[in-house]
Amino acid sequence: MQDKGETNMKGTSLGEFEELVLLSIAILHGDAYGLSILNELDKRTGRKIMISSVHKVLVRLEKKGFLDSHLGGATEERGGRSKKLYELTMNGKGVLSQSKELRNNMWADISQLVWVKE
Amino acid sequence: MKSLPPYWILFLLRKICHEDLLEAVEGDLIQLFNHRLAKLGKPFASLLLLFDILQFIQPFSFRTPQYYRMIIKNYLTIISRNMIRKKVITIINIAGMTLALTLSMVIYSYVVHERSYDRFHEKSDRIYRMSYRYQNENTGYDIHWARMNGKWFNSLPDEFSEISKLVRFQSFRERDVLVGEEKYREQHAFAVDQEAFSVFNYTFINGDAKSALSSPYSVVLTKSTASRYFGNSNPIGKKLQISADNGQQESYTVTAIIKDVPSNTHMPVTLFTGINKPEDRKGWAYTYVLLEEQSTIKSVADKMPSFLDRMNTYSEGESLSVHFMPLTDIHLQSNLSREIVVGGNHQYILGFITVAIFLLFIATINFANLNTVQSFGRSREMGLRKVMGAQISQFKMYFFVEALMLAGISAIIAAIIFFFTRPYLENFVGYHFVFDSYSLVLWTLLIVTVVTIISGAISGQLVTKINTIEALKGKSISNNVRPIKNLLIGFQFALAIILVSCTIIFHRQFTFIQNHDLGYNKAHIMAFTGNSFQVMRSYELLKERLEKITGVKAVSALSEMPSIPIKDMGQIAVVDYPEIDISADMLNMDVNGTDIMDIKLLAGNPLPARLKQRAEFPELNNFEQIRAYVMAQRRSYMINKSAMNAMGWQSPEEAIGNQMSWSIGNIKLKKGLIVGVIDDFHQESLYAKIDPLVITYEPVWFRHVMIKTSSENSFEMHNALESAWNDIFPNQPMELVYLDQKYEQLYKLEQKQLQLISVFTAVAIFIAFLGLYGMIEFALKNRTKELAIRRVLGSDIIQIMKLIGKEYFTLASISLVIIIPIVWKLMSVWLDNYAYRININGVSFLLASLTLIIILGVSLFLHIYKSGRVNPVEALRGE
Repeated sequence: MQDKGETNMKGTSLGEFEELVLLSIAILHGDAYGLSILNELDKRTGRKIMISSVHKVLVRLEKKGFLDSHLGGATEERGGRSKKLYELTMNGKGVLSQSKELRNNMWADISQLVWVKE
Repeated sequence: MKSLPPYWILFLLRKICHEDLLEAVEGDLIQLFNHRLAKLGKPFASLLLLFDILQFIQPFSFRTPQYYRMIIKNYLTIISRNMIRKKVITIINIAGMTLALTLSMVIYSYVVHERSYDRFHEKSDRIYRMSYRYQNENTGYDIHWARMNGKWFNSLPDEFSEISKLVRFQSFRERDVLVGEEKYREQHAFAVDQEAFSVFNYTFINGDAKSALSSPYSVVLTKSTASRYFGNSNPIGKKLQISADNGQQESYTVTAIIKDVPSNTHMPVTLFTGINKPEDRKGWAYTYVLLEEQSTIKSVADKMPSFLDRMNTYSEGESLSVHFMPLTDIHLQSNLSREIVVGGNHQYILGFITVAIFLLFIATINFANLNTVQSFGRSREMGLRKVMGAQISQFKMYFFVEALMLAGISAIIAAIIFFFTRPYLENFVGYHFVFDSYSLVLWTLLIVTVVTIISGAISGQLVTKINTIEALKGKSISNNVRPIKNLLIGFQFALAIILVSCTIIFHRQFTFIQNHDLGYNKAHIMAFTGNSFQVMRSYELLKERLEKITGVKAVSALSEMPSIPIKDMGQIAVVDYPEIDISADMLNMDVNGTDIMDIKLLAGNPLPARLKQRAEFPELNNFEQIRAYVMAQRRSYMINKSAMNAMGWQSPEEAIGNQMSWSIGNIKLKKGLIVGVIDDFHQESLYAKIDPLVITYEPVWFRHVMIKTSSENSFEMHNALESAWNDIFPNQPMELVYLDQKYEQLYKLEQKQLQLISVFTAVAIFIAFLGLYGMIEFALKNRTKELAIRRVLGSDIIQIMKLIGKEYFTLASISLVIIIPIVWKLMSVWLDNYAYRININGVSFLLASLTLIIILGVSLFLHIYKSGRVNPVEALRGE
């Protein structure tokens, strides 16, 4: 019961890290799984991120309904284990563009004077 | 080649990770492992993998089958009920573990602090200190200095491509500072190269590293020095007078303020000046080199001998070598002549770690023993669980959970206690601990885990011995496990004996050193120390003034205070004995010096007073002038017994009347008669053996004024001396010390460490006592009826004590027999480090055994006295 309440509340706002993960999945289109997302984030942000935190967010986002997953793409490098490949759901795409729109609107309302060097 | 990580790591992952995620996570981790394998090699890749896996112990991914949850929930209920019901055992358990954990935290922070020295400099891994060892085979002269002398090594960065920068810290003597009318003395003021601030990290509050020392006569102050000098006003641009090496005052301008230097450095600097002229980059200097990235110190060290050959000429038998020590090792490893400050001691660190491990062991064994025996008290429950199909692994889990819970509670309490006592502790050791709380937490978690695993495993092992039927009948089942339990108690006894006997031996050695006859009388002697050449020129004037003060018995001067090593070894030549070729330290004293210190004269006379019949010495501005002056003076000498022996003379009388001379480098003192032979006295600490010593009268080299007073050092005396000083030297700061206090300083650090170790030992014994108390309590409870019957039949307390205690006393004796020879051997090895040492006798072991027996006796007595008060009828009627 409690779970549901949380989902609704969080559903409208994404954490920064959650947003970054969703964006990475969109970028990696079709080849988004734990490690590739980690590498993408590492490359773009330069932050040192734990593999466990990526999986944790993935589980949470999937629970929220922003992600879909299926197993596949086992390689020798992975010791024959399958990847859990993620893709954005309609909801996921929606929440991403919502967040982008929000930002765009806010940026548009910033006065140019703010950027003038003092 | 793709390879798989070690099997056991994957196995661990499978135990941890939820099956829904397992496939994907395992794949990711294997892939990551393969990436790292190529870069880091297998051991590191595995280690990182292990860390990654442990990260998956989180609610979102943890594997928790339904029945596990239920079982654990049931265990938690049972455990907490038991904890509440058996309050005494619970409190004993938690108290012991809490104490052990608190002290481990203390030791941890102490050790981490000691090991953190100078690591705050970002380039600390590339900074090395140069030191300088001079040996002479013929004379046996061998000194390794912490600092370098000369300017020949200034060119090292140009000569060696590996060396990026070389920084000199010179003018390291106490420096006198005048700020307006106020006089200060800085113990750790250095003149440094401008680059010091790019090699070392000092945080600038005002000014910046680049320009701070770019113009001559600039001075950089630490924050607290600045506020001492100028209060709250802005110090930048202010002028102050600082004494140069020859005592002359020079005017400096404050250009920058830095944050106070952290407590974990071997260079506790309070003031920096620049080196004002390039030609001043000479003389003695603590010298540090910064290596280029990728360079190794080894390649520099390898090329050093050929460089030295080019730079220096030495005669037969002489050799000079240069050594490099990593900056971060200096505090714990370096113990050379003339260190900036006395460093820590590597051995003590090991000692503290050992004590921490012992403490934790004793507490863990308590834990295991008490948990086990008290679960036997619930033998029916155990039996029933078995009948209902509980597996051994589940019993084991029960004990793990129980141990984890108790250890967790203890850890939390310990952390709270540590948090609140830390200020007192820091007050005691005299500095702030610099350590990372995050890693302290990690270590505590690690210790809790280890304690849980050991104690859980022991208890679990013991429980497998339960006989189900007997357990169900409610019979005492402790007999089955007696051997293991006794082994553990014996082990505890052994650890306690080791700690107690070692501590007693430490104490005896330390007291021995403190009370050892020094060969001179340090009572009632005060001294103005570290005076400049300018001050000492007016020594006779000061002496005259001081002798007028009532209560002053005598005034003398000398070149180095007792308690400070001299390390000015020069060569001795004796006219009639050309074969004598030894080196000896030189101590310069006023002619009454040996009298004032009550140094025993073995033969002959003190230095003759006629030596003083010379004109007041002239202004001597440089080394050449000093050298010419001292070489022109007439001499008489005294030698000590060690020097006499080294020269091969059998009796003092044989030495008296010989003509000898003393020389160091190109300073050659004139020939003179040996007028007296004194008994050996301890110039240095008692850790060092007494060196050969020559005493002569040379006022140019005097640096300290000693004052013998008639009574206890009083406040009035201090004031009178101070005002006499101020009359004669209005512009010179003074430093008035008591010789006995100065002497105590030598052992201050050691004394504190010893006190700490004693406290830890006391706690260890207390923990052992707690454990024993709990065990006996249990043993008695199991035998309530038996003891009641015995009492009804007429046993008295002594007999019952004998009956219960026999087992423990046997254990104690066995562990004593095993441990004593081991400790004896180890401590003898340790004592061999000391030039003056005690011999181990039985006393320490006797005391250790006595302590053990008292602990046993007291815990037995407490219990039996308690149960003795209960009417036996009550005990018999129970059921």
